[in-house]
Amino acid sequence: MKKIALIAFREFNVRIRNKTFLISTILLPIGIILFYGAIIVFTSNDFETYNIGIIDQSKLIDGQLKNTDNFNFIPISKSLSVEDAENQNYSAIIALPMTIDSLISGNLQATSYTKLGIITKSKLEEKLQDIIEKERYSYANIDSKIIDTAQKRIQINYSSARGNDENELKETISYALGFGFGFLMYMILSIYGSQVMRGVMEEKTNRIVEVIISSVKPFELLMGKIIGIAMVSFLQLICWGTIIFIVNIILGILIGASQMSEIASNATIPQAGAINMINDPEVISLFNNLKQIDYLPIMFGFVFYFLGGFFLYSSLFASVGSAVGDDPQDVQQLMIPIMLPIILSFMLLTKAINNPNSTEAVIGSIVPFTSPVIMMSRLVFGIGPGVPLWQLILSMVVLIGTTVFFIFLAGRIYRVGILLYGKKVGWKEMIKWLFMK
Amino acid sequence: MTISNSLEVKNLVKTYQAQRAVDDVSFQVQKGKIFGLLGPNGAGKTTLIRMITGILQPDSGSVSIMGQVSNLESNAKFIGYMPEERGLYKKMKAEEQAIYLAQLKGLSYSEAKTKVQFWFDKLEMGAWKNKKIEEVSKGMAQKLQFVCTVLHDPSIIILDEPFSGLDPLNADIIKKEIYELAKQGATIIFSTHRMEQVEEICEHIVLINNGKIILDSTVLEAKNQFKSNQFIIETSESFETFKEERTLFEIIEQKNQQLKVRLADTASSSDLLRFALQQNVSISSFREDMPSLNSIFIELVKNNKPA
Repeated sequence: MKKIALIAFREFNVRIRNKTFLISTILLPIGIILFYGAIIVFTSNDFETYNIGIIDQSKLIDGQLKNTDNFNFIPISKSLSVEDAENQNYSAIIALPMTIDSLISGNLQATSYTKLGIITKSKLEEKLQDIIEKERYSYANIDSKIIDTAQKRIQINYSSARGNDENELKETISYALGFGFGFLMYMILSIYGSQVMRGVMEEKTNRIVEVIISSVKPFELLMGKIIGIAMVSFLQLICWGTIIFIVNIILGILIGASQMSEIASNATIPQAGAINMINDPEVISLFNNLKQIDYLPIMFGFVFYFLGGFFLYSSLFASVGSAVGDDPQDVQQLMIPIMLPIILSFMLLTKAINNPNSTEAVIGSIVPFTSPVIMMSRLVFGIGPGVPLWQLILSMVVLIGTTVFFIFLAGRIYRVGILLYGKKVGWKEMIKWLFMK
Repeated sequence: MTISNSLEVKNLVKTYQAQRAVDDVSFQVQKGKIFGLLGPNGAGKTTLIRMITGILQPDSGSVSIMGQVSNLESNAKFIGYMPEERGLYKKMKAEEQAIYLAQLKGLSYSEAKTKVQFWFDKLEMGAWKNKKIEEVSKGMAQKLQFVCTVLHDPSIIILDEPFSGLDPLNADIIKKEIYELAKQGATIIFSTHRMEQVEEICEHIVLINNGKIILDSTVLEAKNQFKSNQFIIETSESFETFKEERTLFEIIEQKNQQLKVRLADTASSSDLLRFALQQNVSISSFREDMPSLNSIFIELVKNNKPA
């Protein structure tokens, strides 16, 4: 045990001191958050205000165009010369038709003085669309209220027969979280699993392995390595979790602040874009619903399935790593049977979050090779409605049993493989090693 | 009971699929001796060593180390093994790596650190203790590997081709250390196919071929066993008168001032020397031409081809 700990800590120390670890753990998530934040801010908000001159000689839409954050509509009586328009900072001047017939045809003429972006143009069109639509209704003698009533969206309000509170938003959140956790697990298994494989290959091609196994049992070396990398990946996940948590708190504070200011002034205050978005009642209720999810079983399940899945797949990856030299082609071939169930679980994932109690999802969450991904995605829906307790327990027992069994097998393959050089090895050969003395 | 043999190998057998890699091998090595384990490539040396260290389990037979039946746990303490296929973690610093390997042998961190300090000072390696292995030369890495092998004061030190990749200067330093360790009571098992090194270093040799022992003797005995009664005489003058002699010896080769002869079975070396002195030439050298281990090795292996 002491030697396993020594090996695991060496693995851990060397890996966390590596620059790639620092980059992928701290800089990468911050970079991603900033990147997406920037995209959201820039696409949802245009901070520019444009002066739009409106020539409406027949007063067809008199006073209906209201100024917005982006547009100042200025009624003018006649067209201006280019110099005058530019001097008065007009971005565009729209000359409305003289007659209602031409207006409702919808073909409008505008002269632009600065370059207007696609988004700005479509916003302007939207603005006029609403007004002209109303003009069309009144021209056809239709009360626009009738149209509004006719077009009202229907909504089905579900209530659970067992009395559980069903909430569409909560469901959407569970859906997203289920996908998120399932996907995370998929990434962990494939990325960290292959890190174990590369680690084993490194020791083999480095030729250090024989020195080490003259002091420790091959199994101790294998376990030390897997535990070490498990610690690294756990630390990485904790770091990512912390970053997400901090971002969450910052968003929470922003929401709180914007709600407070709203109450204080009792009016919409023009604010910076990000806060405007958070001000959105939908976003607020999203946050409230996120708070309602029962995180305890999710966290517990995550740690359990992380460890189970990681040890199961790492031992498989380690077997491959021990059997091959440094020829990437051999590696690819031997990896296929390991990658298949991981990919399969990813394909099952969408099915499982759409219908957590479908046959595929239930089977997928009990079979140990797919259960880390599938059960994790189902757990988000809660124990009981999402996953019956017996399924959870069965899945865990099966996973533990299989993992222990495969660690044992991997140990037997590993001890032969690491000492073998210059021989191309297939799965058949590796199975033979299982029975060698 | 005093243990004079630090290593005893009895009837060791290891079979790989169809091939007998090690076939009924037995030998003993005395404490404090430098022992040569020789054999051509693929003879089974590495398999044999792996069974001695406990890395591999024999199919049958036994290995006892310091009077105890071999097991990996205790072997780790008693044996220092430098395999032929050896390497180090490239990303680790020299000192850190040596300490780690010593800890795996069972030393505490502080013991390991003291030992590493001692050896780094001794072999003048202090300057690069904080360098990563990928930054140092191959020779340096070899030296570090040697240090890692002997750090925990093993009773048995197994060195598989220890000088490969070392420049003569560093090879000499390591050789000196090997002698010193043997003097202090460590048993050295030296595996190689470089015969001139064996001749120089080893006292006792075992030669294996196709998994079997074909020679087990001291270096001197081996040479005596394989000598062919040849002598070399050197003078500053000509060998004209030697050529007339027929009964005492036959001339095999004459090169410049050197004459190589084979003595008749009936004659002794003294007869030859007496004859030479009577020839009125000044003799600068007279010696028996002992076979080199290299030629013994080649001859034995050639005659031991599997049928």
